[in-house]
Amino acid sequence: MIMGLLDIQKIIIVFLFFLAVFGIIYIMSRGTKGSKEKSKSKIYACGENIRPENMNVPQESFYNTLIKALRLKKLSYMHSGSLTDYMFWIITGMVVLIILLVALW
Amino acid sequence: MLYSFLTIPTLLAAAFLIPLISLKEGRFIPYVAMSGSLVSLFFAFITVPMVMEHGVLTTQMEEWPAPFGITLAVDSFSMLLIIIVTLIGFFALLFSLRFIKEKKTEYYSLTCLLLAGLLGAAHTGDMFNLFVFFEIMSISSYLLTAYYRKAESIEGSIKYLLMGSLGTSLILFGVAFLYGAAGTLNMADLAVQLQGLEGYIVPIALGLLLTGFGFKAAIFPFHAWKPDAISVTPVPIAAIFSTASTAVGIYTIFRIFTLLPIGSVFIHSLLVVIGVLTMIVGAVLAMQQNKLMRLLAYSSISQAGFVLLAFGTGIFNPLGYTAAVFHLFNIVIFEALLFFVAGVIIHETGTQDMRKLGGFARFSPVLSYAFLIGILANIGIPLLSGFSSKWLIYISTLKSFPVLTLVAVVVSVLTMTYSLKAYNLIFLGNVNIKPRAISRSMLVPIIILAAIVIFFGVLPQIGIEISEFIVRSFDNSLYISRVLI
Repeated sequence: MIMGLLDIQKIIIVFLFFLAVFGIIYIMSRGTKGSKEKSKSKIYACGENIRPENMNVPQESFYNTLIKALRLKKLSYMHSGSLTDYMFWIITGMVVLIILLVALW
Repeated sequence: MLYSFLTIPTLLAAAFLIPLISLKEGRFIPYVAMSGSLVSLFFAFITVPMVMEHGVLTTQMEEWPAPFGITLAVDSFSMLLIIIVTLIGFFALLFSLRFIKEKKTEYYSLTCLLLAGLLGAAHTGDMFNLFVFFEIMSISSYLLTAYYRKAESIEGSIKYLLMGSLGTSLILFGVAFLYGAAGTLNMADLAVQLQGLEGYIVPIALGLLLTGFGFKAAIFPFHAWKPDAISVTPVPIAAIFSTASTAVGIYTIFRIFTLLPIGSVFIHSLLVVIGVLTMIVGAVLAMQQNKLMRLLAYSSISQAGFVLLAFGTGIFNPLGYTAAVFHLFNIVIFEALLFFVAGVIIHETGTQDMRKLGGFARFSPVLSYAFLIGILANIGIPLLSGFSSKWLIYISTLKSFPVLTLVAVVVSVLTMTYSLKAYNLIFLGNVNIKPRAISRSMLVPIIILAAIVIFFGVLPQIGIEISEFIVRSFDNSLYISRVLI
């Protein structure tokens, strides 16, 4: 039954669609050239280096992550390399999951 | 006889023998670990025909009957995980022979512990034991992340430790909630006791468990640890984290969802949403990376999203489950292939910054072809294993959520964008860093994995039939009846 799903026509249609989307993305991204920034060339925070003294979770800045994320300039704000931000996303994700599960159980 | 169970004491024995042997003769250490891993692989493979014949194999520790004693149960799905862990573990150790030059006692001992933890999680039929095995796996992972003792590896390890501790604490809370609700920790007994149970305890427990196991599987929004940890870990360990560890995390989520009586349309739809977000976030962030290991880490996150998406559609169309199992196996193989190729590149050039690399194809056509096979399978190009499983995902989503087929195809295109960028920067163009001679022992796992990718790409029906057989184990009645005799 499953092998019938490997239909050559469908495969070609999806493959052509795939190529078309790739072409559009390629053409759209061809003109933009990123500028190099020295501080962004190290390993952490999507390019930034975090010092060991920043390796803590200060409670007063716990919600800073949300404030930063609400600006939504880049998805990489969510991946700042800061432990506080990562903890925030884990706990927020857990709370959202539990609320959804309890509400819709 | 559940021979595959012997993989755990074998690897534990190797882990504890290695420090003893290092007191006398250090050069035997890698071979002790390799022998332990090879014996485990043997035990895993001889169990396969028995699982195919009987469906579920069980054993009770100290002969205490279930649900009072500790149950170990292996069905076709856990057997797949056991094969994955032992195979990738063996390849990682083989690859480490040339890759790891110092602190061998620590490295090989902890790697054996990590593999024992992963195998324990695949074997156990008890929730508390699952937590214990996850802890064994996690603690060895934190230590292995700090292996290089550089500032960034210690930073990565501490971050992973703190977030991982939160994840495992949530698992423990989830297990405690389930015990409070059902009065048992045996998975099969839980499946019986939770039938028709009202109240909020089960959804809260489920939320906690999904967060904890989601962290281990690095699914959105619990994935942030992975690129930071993987980019500072020795490459063979990064390969285990991104393939076997992720597979065990996903396996645990699937096991809970298929065994316990909670498989509602809502729960599956929730998994679809998480899967879609995981694959989009992983792919978008992979496009922004210049460090090879970070790119591969985000890529593996994105591929895990595909697996969750397929599993979520399984309640609407059983093809989704088949697609999820097949894609899970495929991503383990081609992600491991990509990580090992990356390992050779990093070992020979000393950098993982793709902008500093170039022209590698001239020095090693074998590596170039192997990487190309890996990325093309990752994209889902015909005649490679990733294609058939991705195709099943497209079909299963088309039948339940057609718009998600479009999303899945677009994410595959994003995969193509960052994969070809990586290939272009590393293998084509001018030679920036001249590599040293490439060790043959490093090429062995790469060639075997590339051959597996081609095999399941050319003969997808074999993989699909195996996956269909495994999906039959998602019906929990046989598992429950075998455990609770």
